[in-house]
Amino acid sequence: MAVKNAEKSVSGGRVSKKAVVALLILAALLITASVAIITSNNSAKVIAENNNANNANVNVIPAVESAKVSLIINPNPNNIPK
Amino acid sequence: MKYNGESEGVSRNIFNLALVFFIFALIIFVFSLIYFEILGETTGFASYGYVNLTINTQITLNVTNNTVNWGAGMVDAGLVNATLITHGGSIGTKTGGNWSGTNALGLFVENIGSINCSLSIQAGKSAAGFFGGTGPEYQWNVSNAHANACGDWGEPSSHGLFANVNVSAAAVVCKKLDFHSGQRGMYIDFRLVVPYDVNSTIANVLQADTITISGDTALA
Repeated sequence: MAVKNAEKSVSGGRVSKKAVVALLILAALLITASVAIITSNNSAKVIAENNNANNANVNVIPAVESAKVSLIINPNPNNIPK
Repeated sequence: MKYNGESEGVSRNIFNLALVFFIFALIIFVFSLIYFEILGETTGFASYGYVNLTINTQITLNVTNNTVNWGAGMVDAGLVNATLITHGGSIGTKTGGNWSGTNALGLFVENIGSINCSLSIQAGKSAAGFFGGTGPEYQWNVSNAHANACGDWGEPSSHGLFANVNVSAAAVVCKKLDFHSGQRGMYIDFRLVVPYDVNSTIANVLQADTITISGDTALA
């Protein structure tokens, strides 16, 4: 619309200042929006990469058990230590 | 020249310049929408997404037979020691002594968790600490109770051959113990050489040692 209005405002090689200002404002807004999109998307990518790293984490909980070896040693009276 | 009472306008060249700048900004805007898939996400056509998932896996060992009990006995007359050996699920045998092997079976360890694991064992006492006397020996031997239960052996001296127990640090005897039913069981057998000349603080008193059996992440 702004472009059409601007074109309508063209006459005899001169153009309305309002039309030019409107075009410049629109262009500035588009640039600002583009920068916002690029910036926010980069942040999202970083988060996504972190999530991927988390996916590789598998927490293994070790197990510990115990057992016993036992005996009673009765001395043999016939075996007299020297 | 004035339009509808407005002040005089700018030249056509300036307007063209502004138009080019506007078109340039429009191109950048459209490019950013397409390249970063904003259009796809807002219209429901996002090509990928992320799921954050953390898995906790519990390794579980089951020591079915957790006591090797030789009971009371003595070294035969005229001999300097007796040798006591466990044989997996069969009763233990003795040479040069009169201990009973009825309750002396090898330890039976199963990985009943949901993933393969490594198996480490550590004794609480050395042979000297266990019996004292002259020439005591305290050894173990880890073997498959189920065929191919251990997919990758650890300490080479511990499978098939008796080796001195580890006291200072745990010995990794199997790097990858299977978890599937029927192929996850291992025996830990013991060989004791009991001297005839144990000292008075050990004689006639129950002597016991605790074996610590650990399961952790498979190493192979």
